[in-house]
Amino acid sequence: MIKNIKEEFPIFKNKINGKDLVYLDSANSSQKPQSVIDAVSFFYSNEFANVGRGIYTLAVNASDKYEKTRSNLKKFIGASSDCEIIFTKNATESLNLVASCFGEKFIEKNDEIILTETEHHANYVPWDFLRKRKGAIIKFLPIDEDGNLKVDELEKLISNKTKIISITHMSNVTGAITPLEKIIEIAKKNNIPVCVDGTQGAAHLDIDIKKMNCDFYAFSGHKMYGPTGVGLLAIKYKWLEAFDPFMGGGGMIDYVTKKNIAYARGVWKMEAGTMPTAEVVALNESINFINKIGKKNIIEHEKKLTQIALEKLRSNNSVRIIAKPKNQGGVFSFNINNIHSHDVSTILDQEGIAVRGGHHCCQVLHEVLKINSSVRVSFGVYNNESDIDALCDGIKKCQKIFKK
Amino acid sequence: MNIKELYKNIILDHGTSPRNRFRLQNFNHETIGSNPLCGDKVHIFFNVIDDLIDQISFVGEGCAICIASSSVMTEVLQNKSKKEVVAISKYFINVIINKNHTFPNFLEQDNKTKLDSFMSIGEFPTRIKCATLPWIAIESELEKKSK
Repeated sequence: MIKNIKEEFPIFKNKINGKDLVYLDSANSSQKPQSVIDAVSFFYSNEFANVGRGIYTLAVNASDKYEKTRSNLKKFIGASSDCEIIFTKNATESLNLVASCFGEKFIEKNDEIILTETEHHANYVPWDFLRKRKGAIIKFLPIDEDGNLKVDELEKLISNKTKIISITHMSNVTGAITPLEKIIEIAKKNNIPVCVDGTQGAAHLDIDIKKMNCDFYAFSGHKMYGPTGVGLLAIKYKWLEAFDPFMGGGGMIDYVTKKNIAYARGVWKMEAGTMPTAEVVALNESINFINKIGKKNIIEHEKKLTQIALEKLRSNNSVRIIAKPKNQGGVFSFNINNIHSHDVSTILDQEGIAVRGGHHCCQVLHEVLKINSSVRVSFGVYNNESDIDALCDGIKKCQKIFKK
Repeated sequence: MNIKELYKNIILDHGTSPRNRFRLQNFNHETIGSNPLCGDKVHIFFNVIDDLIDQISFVGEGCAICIASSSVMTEVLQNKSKKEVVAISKYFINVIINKNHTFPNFLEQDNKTKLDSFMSIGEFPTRIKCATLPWIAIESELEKKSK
């Protein structure tokens, strides 16, 4: 099934700098299959209306489609009946929503928040706002030299001041998959809610929210072969009830008078203003796309490519892979001796190879690993072994150019 | 454009074996240029005596283009007045961005050649900031001090 999958993605018909596109940046954003692109176009051409407001046929149908994506997403992540899904702008907004709403109600001065050294800035900066605004304390669960989280140290970090733990599902730099089961078990034993940054997990790892038993799971549509502009937040209903609205505006109210305003209940409380309607509707097609291939096949495919790539890169003495996690998804980062990651990405770009150079919004992790930056490779369903060969040739070209 | 146009010998030479990459013992000016997007950071030190740059050096981390630009800058700005520094900086940025520039007549030919070797960076818009980073930093330091 995965063999001819590239054909479903029209972007691969184009040449980049005269070369076939080798896209190795799916951790940043994934490319879109034709079915998703068509769904956006079809909705605007035939079915568009704003949702949740009008009572005319178009509006009712649009609302139905919008809600259909929500219910399919619940199935996709294995949400139980006590869990809802809120649409946001992106996973960053989802994490900001949690930090802001949770912090407003439940964080006081000197309360503690536990993050990890591997977090993306999107799961650090929103908590830093609470450090500045409320005097909260942020603690970081450390990693070992291979990039694995030192889960055994979690209990030591927990105190009676710990109010929430917010952790990534998978590092967007090293590809290390977080042992969530163990972490959430410890958290629950101590009655601490857990927020998971699932940005890298949604399209690439097995998700069963019910089994996972986290309180929040933030992810985004654009990293799961869907449109940009849609973020998702799976949230336990008790928190949705407890939180005040994140933003105010149309659609999120029950009634409004000069004296008082009452908010809508449930997910509507958190969806103020016109939402990315066509994008949410088209996201349903990306769920269908992933389901059609099968998560199990995707995980196997990407893990296999990672192992092949790592083996090939390790045979080059000038290449240093920056971590060696025990359980790794379809992401890894490396450096070539004496060549900066940005020079590498510019040279690879001339070969049609798209990789990311820099700190990948993880400056803390880079500091811990004592490196300034790295080149990141991340796989999607459309990648194959020839992409890895192109990468290896590209790396040789970098070395040739920099050879004095 | 061929990638070798970007990584010309002079840029590779200065980028991999930068000159004046140390912290000056005595300096009366220092400035930091950083690019939060990529983490490139250069710290420039210089000592001005009687309006002339007596000594100039830098330390920092960055790509070959950023390091080469900083290295070349420390060579070119030696013994230049503050006014000349600003003029050379403007010339360098113009060389890259506009390709349409007036050659400051006080600039020596060998220094001009060094600066002109960065011209092709204009063809790689994502890398322009790498080259201009140290120059913008020194310009803003001088503007700040002259106010």
